[in-house]
Amino acid sequence: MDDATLDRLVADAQAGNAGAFGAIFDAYAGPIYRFIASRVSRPSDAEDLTQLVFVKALEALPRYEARGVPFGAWLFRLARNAVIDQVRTRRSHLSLLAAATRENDEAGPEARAALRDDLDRVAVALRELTEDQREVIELRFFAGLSVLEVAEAMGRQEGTVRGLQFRAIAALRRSLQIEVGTVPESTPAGPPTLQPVRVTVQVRA
Amino acid sequence: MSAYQHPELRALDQIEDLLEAYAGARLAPAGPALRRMRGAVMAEAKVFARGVTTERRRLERAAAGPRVAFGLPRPSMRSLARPAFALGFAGLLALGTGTAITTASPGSVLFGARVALEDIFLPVQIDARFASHEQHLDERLAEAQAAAADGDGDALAVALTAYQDEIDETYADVGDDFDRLDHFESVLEKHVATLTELSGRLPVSDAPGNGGDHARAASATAVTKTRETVAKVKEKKGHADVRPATPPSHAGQGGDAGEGHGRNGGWSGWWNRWSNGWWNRDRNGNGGGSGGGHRPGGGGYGGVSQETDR
Repeated sequence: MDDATLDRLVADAQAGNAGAFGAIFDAYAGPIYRFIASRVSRPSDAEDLTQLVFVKALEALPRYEARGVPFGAWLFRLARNAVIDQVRTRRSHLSLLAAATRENDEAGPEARAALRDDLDRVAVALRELTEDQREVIELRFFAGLSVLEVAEAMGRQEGTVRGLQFRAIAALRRSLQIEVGTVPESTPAGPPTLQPVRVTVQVRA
Repeated sequence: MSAYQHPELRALDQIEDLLEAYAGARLAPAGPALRRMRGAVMAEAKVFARGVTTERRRLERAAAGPRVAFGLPRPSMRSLARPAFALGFAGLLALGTGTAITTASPGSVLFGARVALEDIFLPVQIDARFASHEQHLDERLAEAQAAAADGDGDALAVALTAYQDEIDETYADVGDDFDRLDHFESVLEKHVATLTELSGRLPVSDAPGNGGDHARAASATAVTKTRETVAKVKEKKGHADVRPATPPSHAGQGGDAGEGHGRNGGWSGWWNRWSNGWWNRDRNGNGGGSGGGHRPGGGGYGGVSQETDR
């Protein structure tokens, strides 16, 4: 969705057009949910919080003014605050390993097991990041925000966000043993390493 | 393998692929979850849209209103708009958390809270109260019909149970006024016809103990309850005061305010009407309102409100 279309939808929603808000929901529900799901332990919590974020967005919509703050960043700021409140209230711990993998029915059992192992390692690697580094990765790669939008959502400078992303990627590469210029191989004596292959996942609808 | 040649970019591409795969496999919302969220959010959005429309029309009416008396200048739209808008949305924000309750359907866990809220916010004045009861009865019946159309036996049973509770409350609040009783009787008779037709549409061949079983039982009970209430109303009508053409001069009959909650029917209701009317006599020696359907001067049932708090 381009910026002009989004601006028009936001203006229509502010004027009381429920359908326009529905279109905004359709565009952002997935990214918001993915961001929240990466930070809470249960899918039911992610669903409740996603719903809460959009209800809060409705309540705050009359106050939103697009003066340099992209709407997506504004929305993710609401999401971020909702998650912080949830974690503070429930003292729930991040459990990136808790979510089950949606398996590809077409893949064989070995492929599914390998995929599960890879995703588990990704989850462990994400947990080893600092709080800010993890949040940048979640907003950039799970929610699909630009660096500017991430900066607005987190209340940081763009340069800071870029630095956090750089360090996060470097840490992930170390954890996942994805070295520059080499293709890591599993050795008989050492633990299995991640194969640098393109992973495709077909999620069952 | 990555399409990039530069090793740094290849490594970054691999990381991105892994993160995308992770998000797709473990973080993406399922279809039913998305539909649930969308349904709930769109219900809120419609309430919000109605609020915006209502506020806009109210401001338009305020802008077109007459000048304030005594020659004071009419407040400008600009000075009115912002505080009025802020007040309106402050009200919306305050009601935001209750919206889910007020729109809860019989299939929702919040339906009981919704019914309780409706009861709390019933008007005190008897006619408005009765009108609210009638509206709630219509809503319960419509919800029951919707649940039947959806094949949701449990929701149908919940709606009909709430309908029967509403009948009891309406009967308790209807008072002794003949016209009101008469109207209540005709409403209930229409509902008997609707409920009987609804019963006839429910499936018969169902395993016991499931939603269909509950629905049939609730439907049968609702029809019986409604017919019994019609009979009670008819009996009450027989004893109700038919409003005289002119009120008696020696004491006012202060209307039904004292019996606004259905607790003062019969002789106690007559006493309340007499005593309230005595205190509410106007200068002509007439009661503050007549004890029945006449409302001289359109002043309701009493010159001074005698409604008691529940």
